[in-house]
Amino acid sequence: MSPKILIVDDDEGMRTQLKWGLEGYEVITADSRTHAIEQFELHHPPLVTLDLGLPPDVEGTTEGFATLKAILLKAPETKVVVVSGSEDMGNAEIARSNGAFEYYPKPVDLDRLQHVIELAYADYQSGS
Amino acid sequence: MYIEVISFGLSTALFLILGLVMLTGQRDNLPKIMLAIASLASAAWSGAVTYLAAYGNLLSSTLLLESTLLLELLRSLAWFAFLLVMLRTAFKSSDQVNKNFKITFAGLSVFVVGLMLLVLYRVSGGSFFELVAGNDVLIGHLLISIGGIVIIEQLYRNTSEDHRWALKYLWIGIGGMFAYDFYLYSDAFLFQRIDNELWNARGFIHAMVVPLIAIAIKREMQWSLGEDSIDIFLSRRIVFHTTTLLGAGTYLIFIGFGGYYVRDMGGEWGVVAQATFLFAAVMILTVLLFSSKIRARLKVAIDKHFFHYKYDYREEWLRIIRTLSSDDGASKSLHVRAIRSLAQIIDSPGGLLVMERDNGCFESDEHWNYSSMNIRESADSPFIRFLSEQQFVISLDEYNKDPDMYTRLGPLEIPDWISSNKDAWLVVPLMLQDHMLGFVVLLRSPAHERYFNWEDSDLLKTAGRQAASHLAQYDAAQALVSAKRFEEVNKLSAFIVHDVKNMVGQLSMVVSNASKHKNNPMFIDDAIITVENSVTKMNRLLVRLRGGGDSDKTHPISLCDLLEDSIRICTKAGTLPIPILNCLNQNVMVTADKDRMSANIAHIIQNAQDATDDTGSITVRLKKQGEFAIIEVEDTGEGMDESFIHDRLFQPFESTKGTMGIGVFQVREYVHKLGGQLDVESVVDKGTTFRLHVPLSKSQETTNNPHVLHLNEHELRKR
Repeated sequence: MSPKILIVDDDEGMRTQLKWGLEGYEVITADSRTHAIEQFELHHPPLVTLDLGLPPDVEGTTEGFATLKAILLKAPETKVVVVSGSEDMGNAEIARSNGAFEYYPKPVDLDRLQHVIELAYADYQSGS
Repeated sequence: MYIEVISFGLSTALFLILGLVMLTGQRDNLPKIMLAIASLASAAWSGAVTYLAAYGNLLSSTLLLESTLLLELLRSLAWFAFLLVMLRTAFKSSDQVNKNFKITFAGLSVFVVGLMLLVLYRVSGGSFFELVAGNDVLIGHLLISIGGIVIIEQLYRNTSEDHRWALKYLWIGIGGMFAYDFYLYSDAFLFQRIDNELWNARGFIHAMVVPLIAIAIKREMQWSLGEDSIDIFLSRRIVFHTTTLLGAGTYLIFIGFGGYYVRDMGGEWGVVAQATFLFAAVMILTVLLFSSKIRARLKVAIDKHFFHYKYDYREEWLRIIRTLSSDDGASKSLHVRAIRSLAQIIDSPGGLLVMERDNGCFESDEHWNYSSMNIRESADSPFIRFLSEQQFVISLDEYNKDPDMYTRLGPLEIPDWISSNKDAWLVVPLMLQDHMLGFVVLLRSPAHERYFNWEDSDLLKTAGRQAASHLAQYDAAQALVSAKRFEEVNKLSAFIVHDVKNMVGQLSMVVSNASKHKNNPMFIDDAIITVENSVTKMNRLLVRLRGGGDSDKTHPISLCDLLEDSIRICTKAGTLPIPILNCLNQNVMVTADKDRMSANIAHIIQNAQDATDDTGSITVRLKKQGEFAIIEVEDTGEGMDESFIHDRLFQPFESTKGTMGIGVFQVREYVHKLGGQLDVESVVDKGTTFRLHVPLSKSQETTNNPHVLHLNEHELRKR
């Protein structure tokens, strides 16, 4: 059985294409913080990709970081890859210090993202 | 005795008439009442003198003689009171001023009463003239006359230009009265006897005063209007002028010297002394006149201290500000107005403005009635350095006549382009604090050779500072506008980069996914949705890029239809909640660009959808209110707190993270452009209402007049 990954992004095109692009994973999607938490509780995925700009604060990062904290509070062993289009590289620092596994800046290159996610899964397996 | 009777009799009659006239009519005017009292006191005194002159020899009692002397002093006191009341109205009444006047009046009263007691003490028989000629009483009279003239001078100086026309006769009249008394008593003091002819003429002199006072009263009709309306004096400062004291003192010293010499040295020495005095005075005067430096200084000193200001500064200042700040259409730019504001002060017909540029050079900027030319002065040329260091208005006439006057302050060379222009007259630096922004070269007034002095220089210098601050403010505003434009462009390009990056990312994912899944129909469906998503984003980008351009095609659009379209756009992707449209007025037309209007409203609706749970509701309402169409987008979403609305909502491109597209800022900008406004009401956790006010089309009346409505009803009934 392939590992589950939760993709949190408010952009529909992004969610759809990641769903098709990530091979070897069972993809679950969510478009907001509440939705993401619902999905997380339902599926307990070991892996999450998280966009920072979620509604209603699509222009900022508050919703994204709140989601990150909520997920890690429920399951600290989860590997969260923050995928953000923000130009502000300070967000990478904040993401890591809040327990994210990796910060991946947009635009997404599928092969590289796949590689990062594989590393994250390997880390998850060695930890558990 | 005969002349004395006629002289004082005439004076008695005239003062009596004046006093009685002043008592008629309204009596609630303090100066008027005081004038009546003073006139009647004068009449009483003159009458007593007349009676004494006519029947004095027949009387055995000295009672009348005593009362005559006392009446003269009382008369003086009454005039003082009148003058002080007038003087008090000259100043803005404050408690301190009122107090000072009371003290002054009390002092004068004590003095006069003291003098009266002295007179009574002296009355121990003897002839009238001997009695008056007692030295101490004479000095008292002298002091009273000097006091009267001093108060008159204060009054004259503190009267505004407008009222001098009317009141000068009053000052001349009363002043003349006191001046004559001064002359009479100084003469008496010197020769220890009252001159008979001078005394006899006194009645005539006083009689002459009455018509002058009458003219003044006639000209100043406001007197009869009550005290409040006596806005005679507009003096802003209480200034004590001492010219009279100085003049009187000098006169008395000369008289005194002359008198002592005549008395002590005898006739021979008297003439010698007189000639020596006269010659010395002429010598000093000649020396003063022939030394241009002393003369110039004296002139400035005299101008400053003894003459009125050349300008009505209040008027000038208002005119400068008016010229600088009002765009009257006659002059195109502030820079031309800056030249004009300086030129009009000294009737200059034109000028040239030279401003400092970013490269540090001073280059010609604008000109007004001045043959334009390209000028460039380096910042460290002696001319610029002199101007900016000395902050001096350079008069080219003065410079040509006497360059030392300027060059002793520092090296100065007048550039060729100024010195070759025969009409160039003045160079005024425009100082902003200690920095020179530029300078103005003014042309000579053709009408008359104007005399340029310290006062022109001071006013021009200050006006130059004022103009400089206006110019600096203008430059700062310009810089701010261009900085804002830069910022806008920067943010716009950051936004474009961001969106394009996202779209490229998505589309390249589609391409790379297609290599694996291209045979999967479900993938094809998803790919098409992704592409469509990107197209929508690109369209929004285009709207954004076009934003602010005037390429809008505005025409009347029906808002109800437009709202339906906007809602359709927002619900196409299945976004929830679906807004409910409620057009309270079907026929609402506004003049706008249809696509931009629709994109703006769609943006507001999307905002509402983003902020509201799928189970919430959004209502879009349309109604008319006066001249405006009102579009309300109300949601039951999470709302925004005040600080967010205040600080962030309307910030242009607050963040570049943007699926939001055009931003509330741009919506508001667009609505403003249409002449409307955008309001936001929000309660956290309750919801938000965006309210757009857009002006109705002008053609509204024809599409929505009662006549048409009536027809429709008629048709309905037929059916």
